[in-house]
Amino acid sequence: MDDRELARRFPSGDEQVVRAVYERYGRAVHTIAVSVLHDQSAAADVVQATFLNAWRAASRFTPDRDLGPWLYSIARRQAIDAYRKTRRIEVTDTESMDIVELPPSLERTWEAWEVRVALDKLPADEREIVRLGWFDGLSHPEVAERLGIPVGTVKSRMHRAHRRLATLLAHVAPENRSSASDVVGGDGQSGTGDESE
Amino acid sequence: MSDKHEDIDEPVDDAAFDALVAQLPDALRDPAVWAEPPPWLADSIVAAIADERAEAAPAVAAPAIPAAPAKGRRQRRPRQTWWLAAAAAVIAIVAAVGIIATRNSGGGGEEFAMAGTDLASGASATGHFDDTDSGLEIVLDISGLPPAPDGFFYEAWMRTANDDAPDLTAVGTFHMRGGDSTVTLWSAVDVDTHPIITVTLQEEGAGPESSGQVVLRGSLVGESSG
Repeated sequence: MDDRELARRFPSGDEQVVRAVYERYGRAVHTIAVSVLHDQSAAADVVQATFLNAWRAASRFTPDRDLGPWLYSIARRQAIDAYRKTRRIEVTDTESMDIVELPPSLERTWEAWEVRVALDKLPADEREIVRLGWFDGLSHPEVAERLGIPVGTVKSRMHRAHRRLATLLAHVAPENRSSASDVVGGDGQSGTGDESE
Repeated sequence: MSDKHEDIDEPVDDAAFDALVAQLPDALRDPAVWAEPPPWLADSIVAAIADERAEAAPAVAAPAIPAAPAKGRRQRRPRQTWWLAAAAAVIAIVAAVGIIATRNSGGGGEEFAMAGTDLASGASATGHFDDTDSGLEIVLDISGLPPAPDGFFYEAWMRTANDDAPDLTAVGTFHMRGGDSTVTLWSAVDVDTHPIITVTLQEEGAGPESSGQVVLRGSLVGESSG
């Protein structure tokens, strides 16, 4: 089921469709929540609220738009709302809030979203290799030992994973992308410190 | 990450990836990127949506694809129990609606209220109507009524008070996809002969008759006999 079909059927609330949308974007929504809140428990609540609110608004979503950026914008706003509540911030200027008070920036969360979506598209064995190499910081021999596979296999899987990621994330490169606020439909300022413009 | 790859057929060139990583230096090392949601979360989301479908507007979602029982940490109530409760609720609501309506003789139009049935228990509406040269203008201020899903719409009706064989006249359609809203309806029938106002959920292409799935109901006069 492609994104448009998922978007078209999502308003029904059908369990299989909801699960399919979650399978495709749930981890990325979770990434945004953790990025903003740094709290796994609170992040889970944000993920649930994101999907529930998305479903409530789904009948107003135009299926010819991309489902991912729409969910991203809902997730980020939901996470920021939770952030504000947990930090007990007195909100007086909603627009400047994203710029001045809320780490990480819109650009940063969008990058995290895109990277997570791309990683989720990798075959499981390649994703695991990338995780061990990049996140855990293991060398190729260490990854090989951890997984019980030859070093050459580690290298070939890593190489394939890199090639896939380079393709999947090409649009994220600064020279290829529109601004995150364009991507997600005007979700406020960029948050990169350019508020003086 | 740029070691020589010894046992692959593809050219050993990670330049594109290396360039990308150079531009996203922290992304692949960001703990948030690798954080895994708890395994029960999918079930919980499915259950929450199923609950809301069933409790807020079962008639909105049910005609499309019935929800399967949730397997998450939140369990939906058994369907049979729900319908028994709903049947009791609709009796209570219909009885209550009869005394909600008020008649305002202050010259600003007649005011009335509508209550959600068990099909939309969170919905309500207030309204007023004026007898104009063009017909009866009815304005509803509706809140809590979920948007009609794709393929469905809402339709307002004025009807006679006899429930056994009521005469219904359609007075307008709307979808509520913009959230709570004010809806203006027009009718050529008289409030004295058609004192009951209802809103039903209608399926597109299903014909001009009322679906019978009433989501809002009220009386345009002081009391409802329906």
